[in-house]
Amino acid sequence: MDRRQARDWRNLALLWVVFGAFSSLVLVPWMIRNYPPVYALEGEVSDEAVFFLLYFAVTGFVLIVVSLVYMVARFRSGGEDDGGVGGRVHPLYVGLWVAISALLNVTFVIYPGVYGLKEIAKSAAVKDPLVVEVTALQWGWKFSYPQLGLTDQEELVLPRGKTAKIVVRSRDVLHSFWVPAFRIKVDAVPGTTNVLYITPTEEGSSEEDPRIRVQCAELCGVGHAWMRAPVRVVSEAAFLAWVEAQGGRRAQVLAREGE
Amino acid sequence: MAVEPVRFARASFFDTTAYLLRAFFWGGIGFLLGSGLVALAFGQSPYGDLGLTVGYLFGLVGWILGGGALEAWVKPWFGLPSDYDEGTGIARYFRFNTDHKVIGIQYLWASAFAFALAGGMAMLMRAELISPALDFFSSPQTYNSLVAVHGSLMIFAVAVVAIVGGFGNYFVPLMVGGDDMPFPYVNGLSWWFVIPGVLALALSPILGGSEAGWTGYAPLSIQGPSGGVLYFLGAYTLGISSLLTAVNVIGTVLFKRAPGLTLSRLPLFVWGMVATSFLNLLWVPVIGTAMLMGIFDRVVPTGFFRPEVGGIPLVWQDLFWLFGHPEVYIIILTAWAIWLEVLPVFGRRSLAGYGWAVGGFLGVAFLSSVVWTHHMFTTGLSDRLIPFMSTTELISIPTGFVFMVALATLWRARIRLAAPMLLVLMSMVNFLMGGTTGIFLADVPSDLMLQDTYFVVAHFHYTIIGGMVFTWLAGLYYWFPKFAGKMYDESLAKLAAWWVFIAFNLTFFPMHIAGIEGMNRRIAEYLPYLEGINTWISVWAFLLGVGFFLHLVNLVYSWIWGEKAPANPWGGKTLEWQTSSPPPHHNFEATPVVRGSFYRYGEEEA
Ligand code: HEM
Ligand SMILES: [Cu+2]
Repeated sequence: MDRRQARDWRNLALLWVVFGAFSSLVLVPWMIRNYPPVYALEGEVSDEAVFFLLYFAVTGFVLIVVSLVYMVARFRSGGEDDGGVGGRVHPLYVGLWVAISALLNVTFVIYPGVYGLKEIAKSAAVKDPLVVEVTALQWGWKFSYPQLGLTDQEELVLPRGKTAKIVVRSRDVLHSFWVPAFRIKVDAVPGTTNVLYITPTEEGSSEEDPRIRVQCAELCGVGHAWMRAPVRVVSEAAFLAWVEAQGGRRAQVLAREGE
Repeated sequence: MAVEPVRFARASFFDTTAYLLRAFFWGGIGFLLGSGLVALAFGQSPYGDLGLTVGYLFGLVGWILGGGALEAWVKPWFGLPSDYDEGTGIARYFRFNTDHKVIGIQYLWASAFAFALAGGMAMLMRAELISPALDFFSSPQTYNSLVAVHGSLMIFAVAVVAIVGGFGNYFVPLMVGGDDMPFPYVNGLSWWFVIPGVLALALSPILGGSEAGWTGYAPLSIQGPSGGVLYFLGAYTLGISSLLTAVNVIGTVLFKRAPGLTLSRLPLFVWGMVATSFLNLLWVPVIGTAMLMGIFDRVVPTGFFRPEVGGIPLVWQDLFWLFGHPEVYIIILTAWAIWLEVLPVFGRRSLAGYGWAVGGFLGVAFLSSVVWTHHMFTTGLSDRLIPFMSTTELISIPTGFVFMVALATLWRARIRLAAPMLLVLMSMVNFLMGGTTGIFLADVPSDLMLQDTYFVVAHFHYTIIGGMVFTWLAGLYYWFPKFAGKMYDESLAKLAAWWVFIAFNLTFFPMHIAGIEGMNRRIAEYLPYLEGINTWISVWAFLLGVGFFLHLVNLVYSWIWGEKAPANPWGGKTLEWQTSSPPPHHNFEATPVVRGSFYRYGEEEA
């Protein structure tokens, strides 16, 4: 390696350190701080995945773009064409590149991939969840609480801290059940039943934060955009009051919770 | 024999386009005949699903015959006298022609036309999205059908056609040193499927539109107004065109290579086209089948995707993405291949890692066939999540090879930043962004949030516009001297390149944020809290539209008034530069002989 090449490498390494530090210590933390608030336990798993990946994705992007810009600026040639330069890839470079990319990918599959799925699946093991049957139709939502004797509600009301088993069906075409503040979604597929577990962690309502709403996320025709429904996450007591007001019955599932 | 340079002013409009006009006319008559027959025989509306389908088939035949296939192909079958003239100058581009170079230009103008059409629709969509309420269109139906047409045209008529059909046809035979493709008549025919497909898609809004987006998810796509059947017909027709091209490309590489051009010396663009063509050969029939099943569900009616009669809607998604995912690599592989052609030429440095690049292409092509379920992570197929998350993550390894080779080639190069090089570098940055956001969509826990939001809209525009359209522009400038025989305007090209780069990023980057904030895709109306970001996006989208227009102005202006181009303005080493600009009818005065690598510079030069 001649002296000029050594200097190029040193400059590049310096840029990597500076920009890598900026990206992972300033940029990504800033993005994470500005990420919209999450209202469900399962959503936190999804966010955790996003945040973890952000460190690698943003930093990787920044480092490659910095290298590209450096090379274009540094190796720019204004002069006459003199036939160019030879060169080939260094085995060390190839080895490192392949090893790092393989390592990252295997890591991402295991964490946050498989790990996150297992975390989300834990909610399915919760005993006596509150069952909410969701029917999607062109164009609206109906919520029924079979344990509480409530049918065809226009609003999704959930008690904070209680795992809800959301059973999603479609009456016509594909739809998708999504509450942006809860993060994870599941499609309503005609002819099948899909299940999503949601454990709300904070109280809130659509009026306070428009991200707390049911929003159809799969194109379903003319009314797709306005296929929304209001959502409220309330305290256990407020939930029971709501059930009573709607003419439902006080059920075992909730009674046991109250201690 | 040198070919006449293009002269726009001389030929009269009607002489030039006589066959094309006849094709439109016969196509129209065929359509009326077919749909009229249905109306008479079945008493149905001529513009119902069945009327449209039969009319379209008749129209397609009329169109192809009218374009010149009658004289060039059919008459000789019956021993009839035919003195078909393939034309000279610009007239060649508007009639049946068997020269791969002419066909290449035909593909280029057709997809530029589709791009302008679909781009115009995007402008209308962005006009609607400036403000939250529905105020620009009178019904969300209009928005929904524009989304569907914009997406379908951009994918089926631009992204998989412009580079593959345009540059592929023009340059694969030249780059392997051949005189043409092995089946010139099939090649000539393949182009005639493009315009009908484009028209079927583009005209569907008149008949109520196709409602279900470019992905045509059943059962929505098999219900609704009859315009919906045009989605299936259009996509099917465009698929035929890709399939015929794939056969020819593979044939060219097998049978038309110049002496000395072993597979280990094959230009990378040709490798990219080979990988792409195998994907097309394998998967276009699958989506063709799906499209036919969709048509049958609408007109017969069968019930393949109709749950009421035992059909399974999710089977559509499997069939669609079995092709649809390889398709996105069909789009990007050839773009990568162009990067690796341009980088050594403008970097004046040997390509670093030819074998790794080829391995990357083939690895991606192979893996791309086993990742399709990542489009279906939210459909409830829980058994498939882990396997398809793994294959999807895996594909970034061979993808990385392309970047590995590109970066190593630039290291200590002698870079000349002409417009093609500039656009390739921009494309690398944009595509890298698209690939980076792909990590979040490959990972199931994060995808369950991001799926079907504007994050996805941002992601695929970064990969397709960023990766493919920028590279298409780069390729247009790179090869413009060759196919037009003229030089383009360098300063305008650079200005327009920076313009689209900046406007593109300022349009599409904020879409990631809109998605994370809770904006789902394919909506004409949104909640007021998302207004600021959408107004911003719309304004930059209009400016982006202007930027693309600047490129068009440059290309058209230069084609007519540009300076004459030398045979090899960039000092390229691949074979297309070793013949005149534009090349003579059979490409080379004498068959070239290949003695070494096309990618060696400096002291290693062969
Ligand atoms: C000229 C600049 C462009 C702008 C401003 C633009 C804008 C848009 C917009 C607003 C949507 C609708 C998003 C939604 O409502 O969900 C969309 C969808 C889409 N665009 Fe573009 N686009 C552009 C160029 C392209 C290009 C060049 C391609 C591909 C070659 C492309 C492919 C698509 C696809 C596949 C869809 C999805 C359609 C669907 O949801 O079914 N776009 N674009
Ligand atoms: Cu819906």
